[in-house]
Amino acid sequence: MRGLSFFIEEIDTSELFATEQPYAFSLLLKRLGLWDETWPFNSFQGTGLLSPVLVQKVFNKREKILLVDGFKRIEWARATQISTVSCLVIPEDIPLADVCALVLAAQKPWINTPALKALFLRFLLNLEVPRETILNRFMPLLGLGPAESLLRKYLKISAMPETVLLFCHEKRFSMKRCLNLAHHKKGLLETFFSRTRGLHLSASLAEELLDNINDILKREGMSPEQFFETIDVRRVLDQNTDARVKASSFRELIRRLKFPVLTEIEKDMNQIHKRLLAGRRFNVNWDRALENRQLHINTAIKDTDEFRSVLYELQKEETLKGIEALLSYL
Amino acid sequence: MKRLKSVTVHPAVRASRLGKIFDDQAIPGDSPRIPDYREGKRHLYIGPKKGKMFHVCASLDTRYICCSTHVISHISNCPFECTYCFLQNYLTDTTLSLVADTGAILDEIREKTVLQPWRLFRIGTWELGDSIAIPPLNQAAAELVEGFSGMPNCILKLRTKSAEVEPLLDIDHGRKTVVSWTINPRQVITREEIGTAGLDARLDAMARVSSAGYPIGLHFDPMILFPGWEKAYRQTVQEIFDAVSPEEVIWISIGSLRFNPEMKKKIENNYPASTITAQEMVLGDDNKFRYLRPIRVDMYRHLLDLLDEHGAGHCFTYLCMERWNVWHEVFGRYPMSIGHLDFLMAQSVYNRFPEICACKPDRQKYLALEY
Repeated sequence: MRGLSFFIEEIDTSELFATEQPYAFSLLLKRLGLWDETWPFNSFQGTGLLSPVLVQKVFNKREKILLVDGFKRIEWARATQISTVSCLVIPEDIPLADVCALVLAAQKPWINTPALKALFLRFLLNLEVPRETILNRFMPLLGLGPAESLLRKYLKISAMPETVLLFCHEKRFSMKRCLNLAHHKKGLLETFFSRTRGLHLSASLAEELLDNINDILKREGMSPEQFFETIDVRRVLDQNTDARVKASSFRELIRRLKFPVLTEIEKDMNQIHKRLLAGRRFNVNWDRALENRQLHINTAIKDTDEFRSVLYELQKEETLKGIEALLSYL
Repeated sequence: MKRLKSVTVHPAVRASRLGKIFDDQAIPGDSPRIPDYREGKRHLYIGPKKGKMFHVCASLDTRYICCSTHVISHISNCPFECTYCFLQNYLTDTTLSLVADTGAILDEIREKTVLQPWRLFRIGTWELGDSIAIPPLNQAAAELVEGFSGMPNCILKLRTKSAEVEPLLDIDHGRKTVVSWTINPRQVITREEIGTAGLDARLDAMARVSSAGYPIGLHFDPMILFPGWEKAYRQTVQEIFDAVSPEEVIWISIGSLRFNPEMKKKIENNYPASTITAQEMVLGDDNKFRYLRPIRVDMYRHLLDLLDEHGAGHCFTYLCMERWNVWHEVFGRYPMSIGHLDFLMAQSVYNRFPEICACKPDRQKYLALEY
């Protein structure tokens, strides 16, 4: 950009609002609720005019003023009835990639998660920045390797509904986690995140639930909407309890629906355990996937008396019955 | 050639029998190294043998009772598109590849198998692809068949979902090759085994191969769960034994659908309409999802009953990649080890097909094998 001439000009804020703004990545962040509303005020207090509003004038049949950076300040100016703002005008012939670099420079502090990086890469692609330039210039600027496969992954993430991207951003999900969510169909993601708003979801829990629900939908030939309208699901999601409790109940329900045979067997085995083996000086565990025919019996002793007690309990008829009954399921 | 978009032949094998098949249609050169799994299926590369090709099946896992078959990895990728195929998550160079140095492959096998003359080696060619799916894979198979006819302690195992058996019919096989089919009901073939021969075509090819004197292998693997599976497998077994006699069936393997978590995502991405990944499956110690054990046992028992009903109860039947407890539930007994299963298979061949296995298997030697 060296050698290009910049100049300052008073711009009418209403003119800016009347024009479609292609560089409005900042407004996308606003839509996601990611604007720090106190920022313009604090910024003016702290830095005055050090950070100028950037615009580009383009002439295509008629003159258009494109806002490059300063969306918050312009909104603030308009809200405080300031009709004109001094702007730094960048030349029309400045290459698109350079304008985007200015947008990124301004927004970089906020683009701090894989979800927002994905959104920014999509923003570049929508502006028709050449893929080559995105790879070799912008991905390194975002701290990413310039690999086509990585770009494809980020673009897959960016195709998720905005609510999901926001969730990923707020939970600071890694790229891999985001990608795991992006694997699901848009319809399922949208319905899932809108219907589970009242649940306390960790990254791994969201993934587990989505994977299992996806399988249930496929198996039963249901749509996400039909599934979330079923009585069992509604009963859990509509209950008036703590977000963590609700998440736990929902998880249990989904597990039961995904693994109907396994949960029935588990229920029987747990009953046997409770009836014949619980509260002893030893613990009995088994492979919950039922793959290994093996029971693990653990104990801890301090002295020989305790050892004798454990042996006594182990040899009880009730214990043998319990062990035999559990083994019959394995 | 109709399935293929291009054929590349390495100059080193251009003069070989397989290298000459496509003659002027072939591009001379090295593998085009197609990265896309589906696209790779449409490009054939015929090349020279590089490194060792004969080894024990890569699925062998000592936590499971495996059949310890050996394999020759001279084919890579497959023109068919089974939704459950592990290759979609395995190959880096996905070009459909074939090694043309059949002589060198046979030499490597001879060198190794001669060291254990007492042992019956079952050697498959299906590890990374279908043994005879299309020409020239079936022509390569025919070269191997002829080579194996003179090997005293080896059986070649061809395994396919095709009906491309023509090159095998009029050659000297000496009964040392078992031609096997992966078998599933029509519903599964249509939905999940895309591009493969239909059940009728497979059974017709099976009957022709059997008439040509080859022993037949049956692989009900992967068995797939779907509404009406019991009836569908019943119908399939009925049709098989209408086509071939159980007396000609040397062995039958049974296994169920299995895949690792990464593969699950691949299947869902590549075949969104397939529902095979959505069933009640659990992750085993080998990081593979399988149907829940009681469900698998039901499936295996059902199939075993059907085999009994059709007079195939005496054919050697084994489970693929299952633990001793599943064997026990299905058969009421289980092999003590992988070596023991190897012995039992050799013994069954010796008893039922003595012309194939000249040497009486020595149990102790098999039990002493290390894996």
